[in-house]
Amino acid sequence: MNSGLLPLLAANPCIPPGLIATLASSEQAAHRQAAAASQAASQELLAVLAQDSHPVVRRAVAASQSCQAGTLARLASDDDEQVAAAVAANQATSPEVTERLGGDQRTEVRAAAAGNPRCPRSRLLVLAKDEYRRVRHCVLQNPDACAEALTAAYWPREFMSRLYLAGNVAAVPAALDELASDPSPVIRLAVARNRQAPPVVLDRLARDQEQEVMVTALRHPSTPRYLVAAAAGHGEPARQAVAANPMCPPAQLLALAKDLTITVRVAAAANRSLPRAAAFELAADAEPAARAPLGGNRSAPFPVLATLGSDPIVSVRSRVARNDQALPELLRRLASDSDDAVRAGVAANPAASAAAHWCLLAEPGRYVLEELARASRHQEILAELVKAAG
Amino acid sequence: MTLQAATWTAGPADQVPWPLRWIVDENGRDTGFAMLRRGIEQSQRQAYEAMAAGHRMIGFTHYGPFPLYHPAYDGQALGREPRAGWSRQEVMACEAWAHCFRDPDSYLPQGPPRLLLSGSDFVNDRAAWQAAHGDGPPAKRWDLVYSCLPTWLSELQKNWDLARACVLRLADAGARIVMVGRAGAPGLPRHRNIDCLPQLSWTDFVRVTASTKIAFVPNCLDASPRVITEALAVDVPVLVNRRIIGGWKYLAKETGRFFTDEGDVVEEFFRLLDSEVFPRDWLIVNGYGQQASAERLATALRALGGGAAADLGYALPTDLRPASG
Repeated sequence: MNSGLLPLLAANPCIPPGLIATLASSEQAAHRQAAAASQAASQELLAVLAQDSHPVVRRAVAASQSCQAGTLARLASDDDEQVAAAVAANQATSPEVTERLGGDQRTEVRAAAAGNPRCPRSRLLVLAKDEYRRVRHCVLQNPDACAEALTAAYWPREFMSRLYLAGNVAAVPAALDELASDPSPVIRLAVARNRQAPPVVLDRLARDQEQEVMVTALRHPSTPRYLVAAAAGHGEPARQAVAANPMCPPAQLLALAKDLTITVRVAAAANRSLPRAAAFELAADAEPAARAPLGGNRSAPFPVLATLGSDPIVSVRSRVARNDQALPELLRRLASDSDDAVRAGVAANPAASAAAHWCLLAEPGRYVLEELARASRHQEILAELVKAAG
Repeated sequence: MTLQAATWTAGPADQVPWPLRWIVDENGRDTGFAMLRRGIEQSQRQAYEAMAAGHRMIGFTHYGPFPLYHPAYDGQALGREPRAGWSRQEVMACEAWAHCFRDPDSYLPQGPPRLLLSGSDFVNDRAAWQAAHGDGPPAKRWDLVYSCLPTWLSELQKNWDLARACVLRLADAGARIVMVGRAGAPGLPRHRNIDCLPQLSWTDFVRVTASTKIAFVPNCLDASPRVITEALAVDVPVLVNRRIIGGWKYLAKETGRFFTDEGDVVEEFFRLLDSEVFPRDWLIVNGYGQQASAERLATALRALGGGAAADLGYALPTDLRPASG
């Protein structure tokens, strides 16, 4: 009996219905919690578990994005602070309930509401001026906060205020522009990483004196292409960042795929915008370190994956085994690989066929059963694993 | 001398402020030394004066770049040079420094003796192993674990901004990730491969760590990352930010790999996944763990001289009030 598989099976979205019912009626709170957290839990089941005597179970229900608004509304009145906070943070909670929880006397509950993208604007404006720093910080991190709320919560002299705003996709361009000139490289880095950073800001950050900031900006898909193209001729960190940029012009990427420096070729190999010709070139690279990321690249052509699936190096084959764009026939072949790491990769691959998974069950190996329990979508395979779990 | 974890019967825990800790011997008795691990706030000054009056103070680097000033850590540091932090009374009173830095000259005042030793060295590896494996070895449910409490300090030290950029890329590459302390946090990266758990008890956290293949540590301003040594103690390798200010010394080919940022984290993760590692063995063989670290600290304190230190063979920093007698 391998009872350690049970929590993994419980977390599988394709969990057999019988198992989830068994877990939900278990005497062990951990099992009932697993049932409540399962993506396969029905509304009826969640409603029942919402009345569980153990707060960790109710908390799991409160955090479930599948939970009905009515059930969440009832849990909003829970005495347990963690449960109420989970409701307040849940995007499935109705705006009315979130509004109410935003006025809760418990700081953690208000903070959770402050970070909820569905928190009503009027409540958010109040929370932005909350006496507790944590609540204001959560407003600053709310990805749907209005500009007015962010302004109210923002204390420019406070380092963390600046850091949170710099990383928030809701920050207005003018704020990001100002923060891009912050004396702290940590703040500038957060701006460079912000996926809503405007090109004019990225233009400046791509020339930052701090290498970390510069390369992060060069990797950003919104960085002006002329800068990306120009950086392809600079030092290794810049070329590596450019090779990783999904908007890197194809001609540059083709050249970078032949770069003398391995780290640049690795970055190019992992780039989903890699031109087909470059992929074939990298598949023949002398360094396994360059071939491996290509094996994991979802955009790699099928013939390239087939070639890499026969690579003499295990790390290359195991990346192909995990690639959910690999053809089922290739994965079936890799399921018979001599190496555990490769077979575990196939087990973890949601695109693998039932035949591939049966092959793995016949002769598992290290981590294979766990990967199958987590990832297999085939009911017959899961049924076997449920038996193995006892 | 073979000792388990601290076993004396302690008196009631004193309300000693966080920056201060006693240093006790194997019987829980006061060694006459005490730890300073952060700058003293005004409300803590009296407690500090009382402790410093009766103890020889040893500085520990446990709080970001302390003893340097930093605008995030020290509100009063606004507009001040980082090194101005050295002129604080409590910093100047430290007779020696136990530190974590690759380049201590950049962080520590010249003069007092130094020792490469961190609070994270004192991991209770046996307790961690027992907590993780007490009910049998847990199955590997996740590929990576990351922990970050819902506080500004944790989000700064655990580098939440980098972490969420990295976990999205890792999840996209097929890795299953669990983030402890992040349930309900704002701005969460949403992906079917990412699970968010609330803050856990230490036992549950250690067990979750043991249920993963790799501990993910994008931390930067973390001077004493216990999460690293606790992971190693339960035989889980670590994937660590190359720029981490403390904890870098635990990285060897037997224990984990460094990564630079979101640009290379996926490749380094897979390289580590395919590597043969021996984290727990390395930790113990290389002199980490509570017993070995306490002996090492005692050796350093003996070297400072003074009557009380002459016979010291074990020195453990603790929040518990020393045993009397």
